[in-house]
Amino acid sequence: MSQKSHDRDREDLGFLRELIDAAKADPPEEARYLAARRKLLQELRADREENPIMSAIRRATYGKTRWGIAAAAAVLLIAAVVGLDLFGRTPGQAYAAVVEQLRKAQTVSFSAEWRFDENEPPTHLEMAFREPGIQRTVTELNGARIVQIYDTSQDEGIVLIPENKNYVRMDLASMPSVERERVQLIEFINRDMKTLPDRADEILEEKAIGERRVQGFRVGNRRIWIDVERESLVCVENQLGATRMVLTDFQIDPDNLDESKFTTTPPEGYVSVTDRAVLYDASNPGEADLVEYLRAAVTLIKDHRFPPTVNPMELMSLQKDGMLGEFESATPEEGQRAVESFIQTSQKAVMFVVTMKPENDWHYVGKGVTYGDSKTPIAWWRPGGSETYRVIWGDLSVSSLAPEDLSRVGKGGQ
Amino acid sequence: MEEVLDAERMRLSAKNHSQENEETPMKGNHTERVAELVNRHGRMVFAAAYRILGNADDAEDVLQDVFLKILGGWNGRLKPHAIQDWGAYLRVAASRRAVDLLRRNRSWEQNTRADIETVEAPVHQNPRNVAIQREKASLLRKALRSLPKREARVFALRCFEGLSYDQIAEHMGLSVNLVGVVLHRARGRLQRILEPLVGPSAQDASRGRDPGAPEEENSRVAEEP
Repeated sequence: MSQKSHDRDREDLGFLRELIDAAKADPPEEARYLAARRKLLQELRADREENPIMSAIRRATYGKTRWGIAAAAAVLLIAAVVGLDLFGRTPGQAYAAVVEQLRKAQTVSFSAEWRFDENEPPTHLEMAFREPGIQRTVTELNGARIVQIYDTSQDEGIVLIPENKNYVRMDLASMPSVERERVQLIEFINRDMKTLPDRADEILEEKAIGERRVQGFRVGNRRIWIDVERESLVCVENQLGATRMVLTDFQIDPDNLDESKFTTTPPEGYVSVTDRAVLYDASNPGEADLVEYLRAAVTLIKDHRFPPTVNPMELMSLQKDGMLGEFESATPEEGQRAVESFIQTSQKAVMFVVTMKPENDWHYVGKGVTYGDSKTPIAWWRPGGSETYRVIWGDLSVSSLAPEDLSRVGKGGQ
Repeated sequence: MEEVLDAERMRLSAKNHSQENEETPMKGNHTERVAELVNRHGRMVFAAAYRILGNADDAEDVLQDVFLKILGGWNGRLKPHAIQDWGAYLRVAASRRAVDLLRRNRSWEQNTRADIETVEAPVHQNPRNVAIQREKASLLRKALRSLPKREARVFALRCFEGLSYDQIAEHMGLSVNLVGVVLHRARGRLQRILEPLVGPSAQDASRGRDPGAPEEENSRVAEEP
């Protein structure tokens, strides 16, 4: 229906028209407006460089008292309850100081605990970001370490596997810009931290982390914990889709920075496992990528049982335990291509899972299920807007199931 | 929070509505930019609030609240560069605050009554006619208090501010059809509340309906023999 017909058909205001016209016919006095504007502009000028709590109080009380006093009383009460020192160093000031440190930082490093979803064991990573656009992650899973260094300013990266002294070069040049925004998790985190707003949405409770007393702040869906006395960032809890992250051990512009940790040149003695750089592309991830990755992973595993998680890093620990076979290939070149293909498939599968939202109700329960078991579901999720779940079975077939049917197969609600 | 959502909705739809589009690029720090917005749109915000509230004290509260919230959210949750139409954005923000204040502020009626009685009529108008007009406007505002918030806002945006269905839908995150439905309900409620007082059957006003009372209450009054 067009706007005109809406207007014509539905606006039979009748006698209300007269009342509306009466309300519109009596404008406010210009002098009252000018006085109100003058006060407001004074307020805006005074807002600069002021303690935010005091500013809030002054805003609430300026000009008049009718409900401003009540608002000011509420602010003061909150301040008293959470122990704010309105006239000294405030949590708001400490938050602002940390935001400023992050914005100016050339190098930020931290530890991250990362879960694809609540059913999976956490992955621990050491992360660092160095301007302009160099990022480094160190993952350790059951003793197996993997180091990834990406230089987005040069569109290149390297993955180091210290255990075997192997490396894989990564080609970022063809990475779609959207992916560049989204895929590079550490860059995302870095940018996220560098663009924190000047003020938190909410001041949370105070608590102890280790031996430090920290004050909580909520900014969007992040919870940020700051040592107010030292004006230092202690912990950030973040949620990216179904993935939960807890970041700790922050070091901002450390004095003893080891530059060699941010180079994409392979260390001496390392051998490349591919004869060329592998294309980094996790664009348009989908169900088929996940299935393909699971098929590749379960084929590699010697007993052909699905791995504990869909995290490709998990395979490193299986390799360490001697549970991982080799890529089947007739020639070394075929073997190289199989490795490349596996890396690319795993990138998309990871992206598919990481970008699940809580409402997608993502579950992976494939651990130990034998490949080919068509009766046992190994993963399910509900695509956005769908009434039904997509279910991947042990034979890697995929079907849609209503929620009640999912319960009947004995896995619903996990 | 709702202003931020409104801004995001406007960013997503990114439609051009009016001459305010030309105003988006603003230079200076946050405070200066907000001050510039006050200079450009403050009068409109004040007037929009006044039309709903009927008294200058409350309209001043709305003016203050709208712009200080913008300052507080600038480059935080609020994305000023994403706002294509500051005029419509501020009208929606003003009507939201004004309706909230209209419903929440217990002294509203007292303030408005004081304004009706003390603010002088413009020199070129007949004071008696002005008084009658103010009484009518006051009746409408009082009835507006008893409407659900969304209905009151949509009614004010359409009937006081003259926003189109499309603009209201876009800025309030509703479908165009729903705007029509909400407006229809609001109009129906207002007519039911006010008709005994000022409508064709105004003679029924003696039944003692209170335009500020909940509609159910008035229905009970109306049913009494």
